[in-house]
Amino acid sequence: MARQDSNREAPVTRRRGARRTAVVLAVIAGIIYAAFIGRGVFGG
Amino acid sequence: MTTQTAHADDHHHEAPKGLARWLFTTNHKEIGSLYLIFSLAMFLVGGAMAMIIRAELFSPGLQLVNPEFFNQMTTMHALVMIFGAVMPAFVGLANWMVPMMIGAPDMALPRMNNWSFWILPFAFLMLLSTLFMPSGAPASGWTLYPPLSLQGGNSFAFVIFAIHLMGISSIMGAINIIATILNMRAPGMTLLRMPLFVWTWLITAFLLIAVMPVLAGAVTMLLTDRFFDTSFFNAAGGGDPVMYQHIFWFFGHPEVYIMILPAFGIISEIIPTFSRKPLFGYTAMVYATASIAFLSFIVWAHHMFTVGMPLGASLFFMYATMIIAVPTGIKVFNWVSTMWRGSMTFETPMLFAIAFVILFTIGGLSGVMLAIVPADFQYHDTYFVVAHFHYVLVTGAVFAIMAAAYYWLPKWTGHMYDERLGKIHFWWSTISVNVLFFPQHYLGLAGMPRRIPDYAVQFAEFNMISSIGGFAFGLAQLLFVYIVIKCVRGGEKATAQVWEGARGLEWTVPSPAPLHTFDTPPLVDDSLEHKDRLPS
Repeated sequence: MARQDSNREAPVTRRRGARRTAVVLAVIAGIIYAAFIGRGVFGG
Repeated sequence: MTTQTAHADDHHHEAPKGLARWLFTTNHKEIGSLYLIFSLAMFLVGGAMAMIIRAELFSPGLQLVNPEFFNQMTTMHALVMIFGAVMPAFVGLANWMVPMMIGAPDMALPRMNNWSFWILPFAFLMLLSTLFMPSGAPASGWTLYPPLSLQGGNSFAFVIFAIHLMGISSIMGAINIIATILNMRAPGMTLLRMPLFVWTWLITAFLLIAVMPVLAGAVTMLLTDRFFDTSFFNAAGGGDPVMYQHIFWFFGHPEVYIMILPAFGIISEIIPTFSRKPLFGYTAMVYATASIAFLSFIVWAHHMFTVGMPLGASLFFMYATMIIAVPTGIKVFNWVSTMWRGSMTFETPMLFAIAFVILFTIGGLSGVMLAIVPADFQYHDTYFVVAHFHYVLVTGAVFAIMAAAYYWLPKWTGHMYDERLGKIHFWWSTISVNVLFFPQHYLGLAGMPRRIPDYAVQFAEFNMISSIGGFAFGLAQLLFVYIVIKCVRGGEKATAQVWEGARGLEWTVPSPAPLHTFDTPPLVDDSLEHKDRLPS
């Protein structure tokens, strides 16, 4: 079976949509991380 | 579900060879294989630690290892099995199967996919290297409760960093899976037409993004408490050690579902195939999965009833925990209903799936027992808990992974595995795993605490039986490794559909699946949705 470096391009619109989804999710993860450390810093 | 176009092809370009191919690959199938191989390696490492634990507990008294090392073994066994074996196995299965199931050419973010995997070996090298450091590996249990966890040596910094890396890897993997499912589905593949495995992974990925940062936050605070003189969890400095437990279990309980929801998805694929019927209650299964995910966020304190909390809080967490039995029960009844009057055959994946339904339910029922606050005061931190979560995680999650491996191996390798050896592996594993874990229920009810290297003599017989089961179960898994290697190296040629009752896009491509599938998106035909699974 022939193999290749496989970063096959998905249609541009779908790649843009995927990047946008990824950025939003990464920001949410960052906010949750900061919120829980904030709970530790400012919590009673 | 059928397709109008099931396109698979190979293109001939210069390909990296040898190590570079695996280091730089962005192909979802190759990365899936890397995850699965890594997971199997970690399963054997974690299993070796389990063998040390069971050997020490074979008879009362200190036999083989000193108590400090025993505690390191229980801690590392859990960390390796959870973060190194079970989670990467499910991510590997998702990498291989999700794009093929939804008709996508690859994961949405292939280079991030490469990163997600390659972070893991470094994380585990760092974690396992602590075993060889002067202060040893962590020994406070995988929960790393302060103040105990903060009393270790400097190797603790390596543990924290390793956990951070595992978390980053999981979050990147989860983001990739969500981005893939939401953006890359083939035309006609509506959300409620997706295979259950894709649904359960979509929900699991949201759980991962919600809770892995919580674990990262908790261990970051442990790090600063240990090395930078903060007092987040140090009562002497105005901190609160109980707060750590709340934060940890706010991560920890959804984590339990992260390890079981993809298993539910696998079982929901396998049972219809070998029953030759559509899944009973598909939509109910989707909603039940989402309900379990939601409930997983509001039950965390059932892990800490004995810490003490207001009566109202105890009642809330008890009842919320018990409510989880409802959507879980829906799933179990739907699997049984799928099998009911089906034209069933009992190939190895189906045997593991049926064992999963029965044995996971035993783990679920002991979970309901543990949810009862006054009963939990008796059971807490005993071997009853150990028996409970091993029924859920070994005969649950691990059995589902085994079932998935047998189910999809022909699609991955192009060869059928040795069915006779597969059945031997199944019966050997199923009998031995019950000999291993069932007696632990009685040990716990009789009062044997967990995480101890020595015990009172009245626990001797059941511990010996449990250890014999443990050794047998460990040996059975070497047979599994042999079966997998044998299948990769050769065997009877597999057809594209592999299993007579298999339906879905992944079964429309040849076996072994070509490196690139669905470069041209298939059209999923609406009119035949599910109907082609009806028995003729």
